[in-house]
Amino acid sequence: MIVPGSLLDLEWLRSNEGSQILNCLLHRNGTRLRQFGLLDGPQIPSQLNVEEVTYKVMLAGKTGVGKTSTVAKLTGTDVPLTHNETPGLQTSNLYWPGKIKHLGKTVLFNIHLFDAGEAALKRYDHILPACKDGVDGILFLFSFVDKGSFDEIPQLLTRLTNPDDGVCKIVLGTKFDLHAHSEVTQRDIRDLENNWQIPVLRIRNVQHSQQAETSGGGVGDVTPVLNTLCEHLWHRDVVISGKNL
Amino acid sequence: MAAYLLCLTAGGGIPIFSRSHGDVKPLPFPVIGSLNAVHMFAANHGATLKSTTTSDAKIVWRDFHDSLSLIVITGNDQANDCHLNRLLENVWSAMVMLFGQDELMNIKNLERFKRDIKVCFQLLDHLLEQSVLSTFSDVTQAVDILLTPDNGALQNFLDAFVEAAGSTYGCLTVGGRVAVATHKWWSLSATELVLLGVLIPLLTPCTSRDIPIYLPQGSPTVPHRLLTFQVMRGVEVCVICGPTPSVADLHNEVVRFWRPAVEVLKAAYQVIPRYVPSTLTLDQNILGFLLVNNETSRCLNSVCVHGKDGKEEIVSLPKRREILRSFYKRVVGTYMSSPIEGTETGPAEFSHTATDTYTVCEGHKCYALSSPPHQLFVLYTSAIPTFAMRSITNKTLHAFTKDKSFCI
Repeated sequence: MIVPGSLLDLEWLRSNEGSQILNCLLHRNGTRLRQFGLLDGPQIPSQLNVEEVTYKVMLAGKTGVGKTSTVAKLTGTDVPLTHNETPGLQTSNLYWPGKIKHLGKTVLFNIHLFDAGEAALKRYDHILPACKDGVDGILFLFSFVDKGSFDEIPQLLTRLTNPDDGVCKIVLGTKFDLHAHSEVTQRDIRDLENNWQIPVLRIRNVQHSQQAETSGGGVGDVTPVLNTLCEHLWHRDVVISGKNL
Repeated sequence: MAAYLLCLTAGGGIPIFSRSHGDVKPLPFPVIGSLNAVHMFAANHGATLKSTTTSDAKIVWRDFHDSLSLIVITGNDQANDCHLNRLLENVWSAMVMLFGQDELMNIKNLERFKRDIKVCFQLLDHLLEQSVLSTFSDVTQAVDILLTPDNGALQNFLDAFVEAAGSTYGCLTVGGRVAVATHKWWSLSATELVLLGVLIPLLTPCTSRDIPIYLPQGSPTVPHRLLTFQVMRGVEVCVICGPTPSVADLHNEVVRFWRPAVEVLKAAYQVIPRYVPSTLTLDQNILGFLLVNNETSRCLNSVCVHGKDGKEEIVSLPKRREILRSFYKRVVGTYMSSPIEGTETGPAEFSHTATDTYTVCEGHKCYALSSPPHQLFVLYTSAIPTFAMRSITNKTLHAFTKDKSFCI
């Protein structure tokens, strides 16, 4: 497992250059990320010399853990208020900037998130290959208030991946705002991290009220998850190119 | 208006699901049981219980293919039963669309069915919302469209892209309404057009989707894939495909075919919320209108005809939609007929075919004009002289139909 902040400069987002680029990706009120259609993209001044890299990331997890809500939270769209089974496969594009420490390079990560409903995955055979083919990373989701979803993570890991497949793996626990009722203990999480050498992150897909969104409070929620995800994706690229040399 | 939708097995009356809309408590099990029991009692005696009206509610029963029973309970809006029957027909078709007819007609494992049918709930809940919806397709059985300044150019872009995707069914939606569609898309049945038109804007906003769907009339047992792509904010391109191409394959094609269309798409998006190009002028007294073409199953409507006309305090936008909707439900089935089953019985009681009807209320006036294949329902301010409504409605219809570039 890599140490957070070893590849990406985590403080860079607060710098002038970092916040300038981040502003290109945010809504006018600066509280959440903007959505871009397939024909448009962030307008980043070319003199900043930002390279764009594209990654494909799939979300996996038991039905109802919050895959679709997590995608909504990460991309800045409204988090659904009720649980609706995702019919089929949905993809969302996400842009996030990062500064690579040892290269001093600024990179714009363009992440394609693939989210499929569990029932659709089981019923139709074309959906899982559509998600898995060429995937760069997989986010395994569980819910803090559903121990069954946490226990399923090892099964998902063995079913969907191998240790040497070069796919970046991260576990993400949702509904962390309900951690007072959590059925998953800190020890469970430490054990999972140690046994599988995979980081376990936490997220709460709560829609902020207007008042709470001050000083980037809305983006602040997703910054740690996105930074970790980008760092691991970059690290995995470094490892693969190291193997190829 | 509050509403309940119940689904039970036809044979045993076992509850499958219960959806509701509005600030109401869930129906207790004994009530569901007795609603089903009275229906089965009639069936055992060779009769079919179709509907009943209480002092403030209406209940309609319908059986589908000896497999499932659907019951809908809503407030009594004095409309003909045919509209609630239409709702149940749409509910059944929605279930076929997302789940497939085979398994709906032969339920093998009840517990698994109850779990898997949840994929339809989002669409069913939306259909139940009825009067609070901003669209009219569920009641007119015609898909909501909008007119853009350059439909011809958009049509060319769409036809080229759909062909490249290896399909013949495709459409472009702007602001949740269909702007242009391929010839084969328009040849889908009215129910299929309406449900697809409702489903696409309803789903969680995202860049692209690959959803297995069944076409209730065209292909109820063999699934196809509905692929949607968000090209710009509020604009989606949709294609119905077979097993290929994959969503990832089409991403690049979407960019290649639609990048030249960016300016046209932006101009199309500007039409919202009027839904009609600014080149078309409409009478100052019109608060909203609903124009239905029963042959092509298209429905053009708007409640924001003159932008911020300052009349929102008198009649707010949601109120205008509610008035138009209930005016439609009162007129169609009583004075005028439409392709919706059951709407012929009311008008058949008259010795002549009604072409115009109107109502005058305290804060507004409504006029309905039938000129086959079109039916136009207009909501006017109360300032308009009653005798003038007929000619202005005629002029308005003429303005829409004379321009050949407007495909209504």
